[in-house]
Amino acid sequence: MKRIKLRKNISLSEFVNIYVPFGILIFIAIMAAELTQNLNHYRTIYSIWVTTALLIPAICLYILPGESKKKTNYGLLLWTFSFFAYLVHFYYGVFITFHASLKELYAEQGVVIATANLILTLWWAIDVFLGWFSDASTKWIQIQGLGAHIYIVLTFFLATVLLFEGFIRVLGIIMTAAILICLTIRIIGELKKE
Amino acid sequence: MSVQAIKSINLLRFLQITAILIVTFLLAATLGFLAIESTWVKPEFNSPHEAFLKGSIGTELMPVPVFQILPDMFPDQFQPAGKEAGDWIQQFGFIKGENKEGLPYGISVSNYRPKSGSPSPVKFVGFSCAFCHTSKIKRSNEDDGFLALGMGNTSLDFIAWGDAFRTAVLDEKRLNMKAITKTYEAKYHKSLGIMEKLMIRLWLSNIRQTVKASLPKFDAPYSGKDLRNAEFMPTGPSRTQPFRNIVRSIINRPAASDKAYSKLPAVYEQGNRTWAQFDGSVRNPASRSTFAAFSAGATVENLALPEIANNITQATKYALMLKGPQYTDVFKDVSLDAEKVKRGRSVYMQHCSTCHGYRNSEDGQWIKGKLQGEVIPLEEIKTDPERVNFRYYDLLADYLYNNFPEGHPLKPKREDIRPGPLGNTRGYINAPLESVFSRAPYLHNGSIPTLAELINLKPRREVFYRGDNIYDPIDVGLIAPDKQDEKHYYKFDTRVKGNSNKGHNYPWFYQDTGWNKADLEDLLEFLKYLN
Repeated sequence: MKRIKLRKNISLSEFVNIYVPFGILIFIAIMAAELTQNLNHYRTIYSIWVTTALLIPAICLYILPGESKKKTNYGLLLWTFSFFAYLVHFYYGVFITFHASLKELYAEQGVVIATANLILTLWWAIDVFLGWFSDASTKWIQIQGLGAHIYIVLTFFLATVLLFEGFIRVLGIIMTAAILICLTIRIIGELKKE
Repeated sequence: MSVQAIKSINLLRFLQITAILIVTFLLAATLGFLAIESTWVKPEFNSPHEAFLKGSIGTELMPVPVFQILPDMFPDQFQPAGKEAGDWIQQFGFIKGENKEGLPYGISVSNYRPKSGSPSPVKFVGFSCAFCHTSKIKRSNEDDGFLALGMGNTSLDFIAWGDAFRTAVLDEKRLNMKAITKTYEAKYHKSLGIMEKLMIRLWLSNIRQTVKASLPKFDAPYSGKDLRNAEFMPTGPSRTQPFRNIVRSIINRPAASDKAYSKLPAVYEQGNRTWAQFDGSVRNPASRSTFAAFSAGATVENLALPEIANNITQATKYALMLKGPQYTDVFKDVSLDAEKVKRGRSVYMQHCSTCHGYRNSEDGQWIKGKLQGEVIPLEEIKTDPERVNFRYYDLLADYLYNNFPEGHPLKPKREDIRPGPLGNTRGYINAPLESVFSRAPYLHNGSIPTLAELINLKPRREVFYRGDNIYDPIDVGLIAPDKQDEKHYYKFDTRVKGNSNKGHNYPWFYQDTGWNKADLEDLLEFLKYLN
């Protein structure tokens, strides 16, 4: 059987700079819930805060111009650890709150939102896997990656800015502003090139 | 590369690897903590009897140590009649328990946090089914009383106690960690553990926030002597406002106009009832129990927990077959006149059995009356209308049903709640009368203290006083004096909205056409016997 080969060359510094904040933030997200009366509810909430916080720089690095290895590596690491934080959110949301029941999930969230969330989870997982174990220069992987990023950003925007309130909305607004700024920088850069 | 540069790189690498190890350890420790956390709750799947007596039904309220010392910290709230009038258990109509923790009867202890049911390292108190549905039948103030399981508690003033609790919570000067720790140590001669202190601090912060946030909607609680003033606390002993809590928690409205006072009912032989609640609004017995737990503070979330859901279903099972006490077992010194009982049975069969059924003396089964289980419209029965005319009556059933998500273990069927697919219930249901002598006070709102008054053998009094009433085996019900005293503090004025004692004038209106005193005396004798 052909061994699946890690196609990335991540430096120790790059890994530490993302893994350590991720670990600390997830630790805080899980333990801070002990200061409330509803552990599952707040773990679900705090973990999506961590997800969004890591997603913002991940998306920004994806959008910003430049092909440096460092940028690519940091982008992938942030994208990956943001996904891991999301998996914590997914676990508490789906496996604990909805007792791993698709029936309960769909009854509570409705067909559109539940399906969108499941697609997000699956697509993000695939993109992370491809990011580590495939050749990023392949055309279809690039197109798929662009699709995944757009879909995930739009889903997060709808959820954080339009559907929910509180601190998550603040994070959503920051994410939106950051994306717009990065897009502007990218467009200006492209125009200057021309 | 210079030696210095190499040393710097090596130091950096060392620090990076150390950071990775520390964070990895932190994450591993978190997983370990989660594993330990999962052991805080050891679910007990109780038998029907145990579930009824002490099973958690999701009504957790405060940590055990706080419950044990709160009355000592706030004697002005929990002994509002003064120390001479008895301890807080007596003054609020709880029943003294027989456990080393000093907890009253019907208190459940669990490791569930309030509302969410999240695991707690420290035990919390809540209220089991027995809390409301167990009473003591006392012949005198000195009498220890006959413990009747399933009987509605005739002295419990839970709403007033709730206000005393909320008053205490809001008092930041007197209820704080320092005071709690000091009081506990003084009482029990031992310190609170670290986890207890942590959880109490956490609980206090949360409950205080919750109570404060509720003030604009529910108003400030009453306190002190006002807790015994019927003008401010219209519910009174042995009654609740079952819809008020549900309207508040599900529909998110103050329910300020709700005057639907209901006595704490007896829950004997629930299997004899197809539809139950006083207005015949709920069919499934488990749903009745679920809604009762919900109105006492349980949530959809914690009712889904396997242990709590099991306690609800097992306690329901217990109540399906639970037999009420027999008059002759409770009042061993009172003998029934056999001839009067026999004559009284004829009167009962003629005037009462069609609606209420009767007990088959051969096999002990309750024989359903022709109209038993039917809802008698308000216009006909003419008893107090507030329970079936309250503002959200038409909406509540839908809200209740939708409040439970699909897949919830206790989700009711819509057709099991009325108003709904199976009709409306603007009236009161004809219910069987098992152990009727122990169902005092009478009518759904507890507005008639004795059976003698209910059947119009004696005139129904307009005003009387309730509290820790002792039992009258002659008139069959509660001795409710005409004047206020320490034990009988609550002025029950039947002219007040929600307190009407009118209606159900069967067999006859008092001293009106057909009124037959001898027949009524015989009927009363039979009703003592009817079990």
